[in-house]
Amino acid sequence: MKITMVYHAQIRRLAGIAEEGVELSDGATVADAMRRAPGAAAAAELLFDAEGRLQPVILTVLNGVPAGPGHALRDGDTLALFSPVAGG
Amino acid sequence: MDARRRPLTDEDRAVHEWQMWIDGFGEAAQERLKGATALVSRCGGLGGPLCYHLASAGIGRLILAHAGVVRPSDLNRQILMTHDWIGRPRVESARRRLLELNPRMEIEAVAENVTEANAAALVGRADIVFDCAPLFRERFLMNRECVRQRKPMIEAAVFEMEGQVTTVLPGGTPCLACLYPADPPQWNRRFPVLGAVSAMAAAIAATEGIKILAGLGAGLAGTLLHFDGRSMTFQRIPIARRPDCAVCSSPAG
Repeated sequence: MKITMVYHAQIRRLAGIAEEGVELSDGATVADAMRRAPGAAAAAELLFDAEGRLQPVILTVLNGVPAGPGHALRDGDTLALFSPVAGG
Repeated sequence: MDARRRPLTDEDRAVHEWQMWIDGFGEAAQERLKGATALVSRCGGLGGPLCYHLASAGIGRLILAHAGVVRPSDLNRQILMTHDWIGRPRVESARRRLLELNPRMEIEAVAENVTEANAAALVGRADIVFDCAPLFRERFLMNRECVRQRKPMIEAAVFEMEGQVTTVLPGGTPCLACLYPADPPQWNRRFPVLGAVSAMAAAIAATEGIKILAGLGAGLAGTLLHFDGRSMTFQRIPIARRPDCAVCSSPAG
């Protein structure tokens, strides 16, 4: 299946792109997509802790609705990743 | 939110008649706004234009919390600061500019950022809090105090060409610690942002806060409104309370 990854804020800067298409095997999860997508991999230092766990402050939004790392993906999904932002 | 109403003068009516014509607004809402006190931390790129909108809308009292002096690098976005004020206290520049716009309002200018020592008292003097601080330490302090004191808080944030706003209504909506349950790693308080994008987020946050104070309700309770100024796309993301939230999951929260 193919999904679209969308990157926001600091993640976008580290990824170097705003979005990309990613091919995944059937049954892949949100966490799988975050490990497979080249853009997300470039932002891994922001997305995962030293043990490889998803940082709890990263908001993962699947087709407009928050979804946890174990959520199963479907062909055509859009997964957006948001890092924390503040005032300025 | 039940701000104390204060009667309008003829001058108030003359200044604010255009917004009093809005359906559901009228004189009662304007009186609520005049009777309200808002805490804004800080009054820079985001808080500055936000304060300007609160002042022009006729809020009765503003508490500004912002340390430091005006620097050249503030001037791309901090519209309450001026070139001739470089090297002088930010909060005094903000007070001066706001009173030029609305001399009828009261301003408490606090030349400090929100800290553990002052957070409870600052929040305690306000009917509503606008979180515009660049440091998560300050944001979490305001969140904790708003939840504890049952005060509404408007959360506004920006980064580069993006912005987001949500409304925290203690006891009803997720709080900031539900959204960010830990101190965000790698956050740098100096970050890229366009002043106009800060002002977009500020205008949304001000609109939301004015509606709450005036009794028109909240539009972003339990919703994170995110916009991308590059593509000019807006999206509403539903957010939920965390059952294990360290701040708002207790019976008091």
